[in-house]
Amino acid sequence: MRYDKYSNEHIAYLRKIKRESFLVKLTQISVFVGLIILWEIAAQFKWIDSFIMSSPLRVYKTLVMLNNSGQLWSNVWVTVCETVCGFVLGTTLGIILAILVWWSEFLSKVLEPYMVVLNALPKVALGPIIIVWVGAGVKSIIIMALLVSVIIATINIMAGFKSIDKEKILLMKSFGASKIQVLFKLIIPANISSIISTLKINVGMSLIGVITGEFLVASKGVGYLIVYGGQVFKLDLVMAGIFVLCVIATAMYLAVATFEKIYLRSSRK
Amino acid sequence: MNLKNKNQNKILEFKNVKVKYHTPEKEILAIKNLTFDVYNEEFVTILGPSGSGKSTVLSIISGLLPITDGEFNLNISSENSNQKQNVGYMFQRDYLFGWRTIEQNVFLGLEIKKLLNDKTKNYAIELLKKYGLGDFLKSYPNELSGGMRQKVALIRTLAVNPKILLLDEPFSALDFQTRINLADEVRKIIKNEHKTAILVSHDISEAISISDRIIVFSKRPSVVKKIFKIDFESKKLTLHEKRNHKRFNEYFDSIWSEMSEV
Repeated sequence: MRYDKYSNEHIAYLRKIKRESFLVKLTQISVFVGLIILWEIAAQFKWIDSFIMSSPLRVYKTLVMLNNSGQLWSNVWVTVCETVCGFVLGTTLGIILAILVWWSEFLSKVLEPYMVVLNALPKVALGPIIIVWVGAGVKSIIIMALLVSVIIATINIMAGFKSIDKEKILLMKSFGASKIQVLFKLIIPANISSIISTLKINVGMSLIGVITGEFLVASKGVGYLIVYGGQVFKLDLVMAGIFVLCVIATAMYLAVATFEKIYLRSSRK
Repeated sequence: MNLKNKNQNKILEFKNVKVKYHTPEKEILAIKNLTFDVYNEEFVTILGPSGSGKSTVLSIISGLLPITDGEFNLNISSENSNQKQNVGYMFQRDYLFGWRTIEQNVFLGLEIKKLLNDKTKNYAIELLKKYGLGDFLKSYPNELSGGMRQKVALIRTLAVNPKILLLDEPFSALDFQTRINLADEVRKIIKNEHKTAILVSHDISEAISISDRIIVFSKRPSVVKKIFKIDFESKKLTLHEKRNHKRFNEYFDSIWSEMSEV
């Protein structure tokens, strides 16, 4: 084993760490599997009413049915596309706004109270206005996703921009740097990691916006499936929708996290 | 220009300079009246208590802060009359950018000034090699020790070939041993490259061992209290040897008493 070069104490220490992380994983999986089994048993023995509580088997059957009829993938596709659109727009706009606010101290002061209010405002309240203005369709949903993600993105990235050491800017100025040089040679490269962590948050935010939008207006998408399931009292469909959402959210988060890893590896060496 | 009196040329002069700061609460008189000269290729230290406007003086020289009253002249007879082209800054911390290699960090000033070409690149790399950093061109700052990082920061400043170097307590964040060794090296590099240096410090020993002249500032609002010329007979002494020289204590005592007077 590759433990050869270590002392016995160190091997024991390493084993302890390994055992701990294994136990955590094992417990996580057991809790999940245990709950599913318990839920199924409860449904089978009629401890719970599976009409309103559904059951893992019924959720599975619903998923298979959706898959066979082609509805699963077409709805997932719609939701994913809307989320990616909202995410890209919200993040891009957030970065641009953060740059503008960093650029002009005056603008920063003017915008501050607006940002605070907009950040605290539940964006779903704006839904009716958006629907009236741009129509009940994909556009509204994307705008909802954008609204939910843009303010958070701006605030986070702006905080990163403002946390740069004043003396580093002085250093740049001592070389005669223009504001645009300070931005591109110092502020942005120094904030790459805070921008990437904002991306991670924003994927989730954008998905919240999309589901909210789909609840309000959609005729397609996972959010629509969930709302429809609720309206016609098909709780199996609601549960299946939630399960699919969990998978989408995890996949998107992992995509950004992988991007981060690749980026960090390529930027160093 | 006559080479003989080149060293006697004033490179900058302060004449009755006054500086006021404004805060929402009040107006602060930071500098009351400063009059002093700095000569070409001289190593001058400005010594004074904290908040005595030492760093303010550096900001004025680098053109980042306007003076309220008086006269400030920079006599640089080079092709570049732009103030910022001729003055380089070295800070308390190295401020190397973690995402750039040592080499790229040293190119920063050249990039900003749009002077990056093969000739200037080579000059910068030669400086790194000459002063013992040749093995670290492609390393990142976090692979270097504090003293080495400060040396890179100095070379980053030297790479744009300024006439005057402003050193804002560049050794104060280092441990004692590194501090003395680095100060020694920085002095050698600056003399070697024929630069004029203005160091800001509150460390009397450091000032005596590194400078040709020491300008003592009063508490705020600053005036020049006294100017000491430092002469150790031999110019070849290391800073450590200077610290053990008999004159060192004499200088120390007279500067100490000057600074203790209220």
